[in-house]
Amino acid sequence: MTAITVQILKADLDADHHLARFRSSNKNAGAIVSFLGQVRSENSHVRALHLQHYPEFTEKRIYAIADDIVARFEVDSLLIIHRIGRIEPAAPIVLAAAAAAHRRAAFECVDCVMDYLKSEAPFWKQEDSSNGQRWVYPTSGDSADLQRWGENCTKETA
Amino acid sequence: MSQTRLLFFGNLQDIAGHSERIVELPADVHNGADLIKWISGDNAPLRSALSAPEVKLAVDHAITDKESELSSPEEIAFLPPFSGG
Repeated sequence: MTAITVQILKADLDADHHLARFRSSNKNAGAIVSFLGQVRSENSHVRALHLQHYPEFTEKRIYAIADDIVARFEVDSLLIIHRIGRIEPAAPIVLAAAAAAHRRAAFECVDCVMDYLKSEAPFWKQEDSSNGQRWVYPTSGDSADLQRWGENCTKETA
Repeated sequence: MSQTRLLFFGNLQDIAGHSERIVELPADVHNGADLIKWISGDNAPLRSALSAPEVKLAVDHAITDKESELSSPEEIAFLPPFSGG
């Protein structure tokens, strides 16, 4: 049974704090892999990102995605923390971490989680930059990343 | 007549002019496509944005086809393409 934790955070994401807690609850793991995504400034053009979610629905969808993903990799524990609200450049937007007996499963699991979060997790992102405000959509690169994980995925068919 | 909460996310709330609206669904709104026609009225940009194939409909938290029958939903959300991470 893999332990899955999903958190949507309105306040700052303190990655060190969350990783320290994740490590202390996974003392028997041989490998802990984490990914921290930060807001890019794009040469100081970006002032902030505004992240929107659909309360309850977003959490449910991420749990469903996480459930499917952990069934594919030999991991003991998976942590996903995602920010919402206003996030300035250099601030963390997402933390994903997996604990496993061996490194390969942990690496692949986190890589897969990130590809799914990019285009399958119900968040909407508005960029506030020197060029004004615009909604950010998934790119063809994001869907190509997702397709790397094959047919057995959690993509909504509707 | 029961009330239904309509939610608009992302760019759809800019086009709709609001993020939320409480309505009483008329008897001739049978599915998502009917709902889109009814709520957009004369607002052609809203109708076209909501009808776009990449915009999903979540009826009481379940992603639903726009042609599927609605049975007294409490909440319907219009979801443009997701962009997380």
